Amino acid sequence: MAVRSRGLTLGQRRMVWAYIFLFVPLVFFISIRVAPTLFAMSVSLFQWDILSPEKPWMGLENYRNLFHDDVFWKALTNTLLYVALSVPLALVFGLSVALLLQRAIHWKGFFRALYFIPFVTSTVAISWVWRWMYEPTFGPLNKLLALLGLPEQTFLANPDQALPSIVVAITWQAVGFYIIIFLAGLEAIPSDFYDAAKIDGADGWNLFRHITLPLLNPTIVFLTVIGTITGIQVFTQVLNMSYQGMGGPLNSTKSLVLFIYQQAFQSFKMGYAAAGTVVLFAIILLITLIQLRVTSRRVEY
Amino acid sequence: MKRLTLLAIVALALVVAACSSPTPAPTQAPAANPTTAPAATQAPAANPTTAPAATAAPAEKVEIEYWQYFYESKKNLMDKLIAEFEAQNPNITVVQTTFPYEQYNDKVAASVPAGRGPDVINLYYGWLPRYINSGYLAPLPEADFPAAEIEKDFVPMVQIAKVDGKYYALPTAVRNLAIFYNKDLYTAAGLDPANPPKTFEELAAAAQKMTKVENGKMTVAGWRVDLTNQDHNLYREILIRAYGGTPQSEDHKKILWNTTPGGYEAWQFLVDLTTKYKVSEPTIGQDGPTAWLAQQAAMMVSGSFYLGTAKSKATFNYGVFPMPAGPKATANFGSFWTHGITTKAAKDPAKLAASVKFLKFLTSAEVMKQWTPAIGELPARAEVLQDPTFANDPLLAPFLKTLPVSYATFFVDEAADRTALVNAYDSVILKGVDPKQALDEAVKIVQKLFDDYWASQ
Repeated sequence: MAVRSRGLTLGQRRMVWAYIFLFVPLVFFISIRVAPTLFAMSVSLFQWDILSPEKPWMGLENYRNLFHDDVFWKALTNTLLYVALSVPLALVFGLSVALLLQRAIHWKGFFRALYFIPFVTSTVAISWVWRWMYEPTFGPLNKLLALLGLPEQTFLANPDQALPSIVVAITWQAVGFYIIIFLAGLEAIPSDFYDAAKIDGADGWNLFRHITLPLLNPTIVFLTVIGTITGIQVFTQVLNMSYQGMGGPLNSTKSLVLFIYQQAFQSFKMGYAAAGTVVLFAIILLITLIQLRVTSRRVEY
Repeated sequence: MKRLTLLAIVALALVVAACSSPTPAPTQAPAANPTTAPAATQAPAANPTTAPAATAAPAEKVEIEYWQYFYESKKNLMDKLIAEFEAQNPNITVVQTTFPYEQYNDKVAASVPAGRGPDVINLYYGWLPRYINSGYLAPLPEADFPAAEIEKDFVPMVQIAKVDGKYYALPTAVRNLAIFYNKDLYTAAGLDPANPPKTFEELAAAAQKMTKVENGKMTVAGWRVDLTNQDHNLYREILIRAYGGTPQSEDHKKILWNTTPGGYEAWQFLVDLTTKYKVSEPTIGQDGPTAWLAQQAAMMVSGSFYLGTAKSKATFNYGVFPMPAGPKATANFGSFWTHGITTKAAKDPAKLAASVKFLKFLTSAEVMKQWTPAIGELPARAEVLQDPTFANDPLLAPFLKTLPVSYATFFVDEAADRTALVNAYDSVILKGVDPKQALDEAVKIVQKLFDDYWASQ
């Protein structure tokens, strides 16, 4: 090795080493990520009963069944609702808190840590705490409503309230992450801009509207992309907050990933579930493409 | 560069999609799982000792593998039983393997392509259609387990394991349902706890007396209706028959819930408990068993497997009474974990012979007499049921009473079947859908499951 490498220039030798180091994660990436994904895609073309040694070829039959499955459509709609509700909510709250935190002079670190704690807490634990808070008979939220003289609610047991209730829990947990990213974005805006604008007579709202918001554009796009992708995969909260993890009542909280999970591990229809994952993959790919196109439009000043 | 970016995006999306396939981490096991079964106190973990070779017959040594899901008291008792069996059969070694309930089917499935796996396997009866259909189980040899003898000696529900005239599995123990009731709440409502209801009408009336509402809010449910737990079974096998209907056609091809007036009447009764008699609310006390333990429900339907939990957790006087009668009949739902011999074992004559011996041992009256006190499940042989130690036990007797009329449901997909009924009930209670229409919808969904299953035969 040492003898042969003598024939290479320094630049070439560096390249070889770079590729050798790149090779390890590449092998890992291909064997752990890409290969199983391609395998899952092929599974979707079979009637893949987990026990049966025979796995008959189905062609696109699984997909055809999927598109005629009311529960699948319900799960898809719910998933889009999770994203459409939780992402804007977290953006607004995240930015509001970040702006306040930026102004805080005392205990800055303490507050940052406080808001970030939910994000690093186990999702299962958070889901169960929220589930107990929503509990209709002895949960604190209903106690609070009663105290205020407002009618008590059934929250997770009500098909119309269950999904928004879960969205609140998701947002509460995610907002810490949004705050940290927004803070970083805010720190990156040079203070000269504000000083110059102030000399020109701009007030608080104008500063925010014409300086802060446009310069935060890349941050907002980044958070929207990340938020959408995690939102589309919502699973843990629904599994733990809906009764017996069924995604009920009446499928009102069932997400696409929970649907896939139930098909695969409760009904053992691996092929059908795999078809669901391919659809999920296509949706994520599409959204990512659209969002990256939007990101590349830079706002420069 | 642009192409590279696109490639990177596709790769990223692949990663994201791969990440999104969830790892199986259910927090709650399906209703089929008797994790609520009593924790046995008297089953010490005995290491299977190899029996002395002095008495060994000239035959070769055979090792067979037994698989069951992990449930501590069951595993410990099985270790003890295996030691006993090996002492009687010095040439046979039985290796027990257990897996967590949630992974059980996955582990079995993974062992199939590898050509490994158990010789004798313990399965939930509701999984049998799938296992038999996929060729995983071998029929029990008729010479060793004559069908006529099984039907004479065992409780009738074991016949669900008979396909095309052949038995594929036999249980040691079975379970059925009864009404768990809070005696303190009975007394407080002016009812006599020694004289519990004998019909469903009486049950509803008693429930009404015990239901408490404060400021328009229910604080005690007389009878907590919970379809996600046992009440889907209550409807399917118990109420339909009690009102003169039939749940399924003889050949298990047609769902008959809505084909008789009885099926509708039974459904109406179940719905009426919440809407007309107002003895239950869908939100009270999280779920049936939790509400009952918290004294937020005076009565609930549960199984013999719940006796242990009740014993360790109930802080009040409680009792169990037998499944009441309906206007037309008395019926009960039965279920069981059962032992089968795999096709893999059947290929090797020595292993098959050893497996047959082990299965005979597991389904013997002697083993059943040890099983019931340790696990809380009921003996599967009719003769053991007569045993006075069980027949006179005040908590076991209510279950034993309806064992002869206990029916096991033929499931092709237990979870989906249950969900269809849960959703039908919820749509009536939460959305005000017409009960008949909701039931018809559930039948449509379950019938499709069955049609798909039979079409794949």
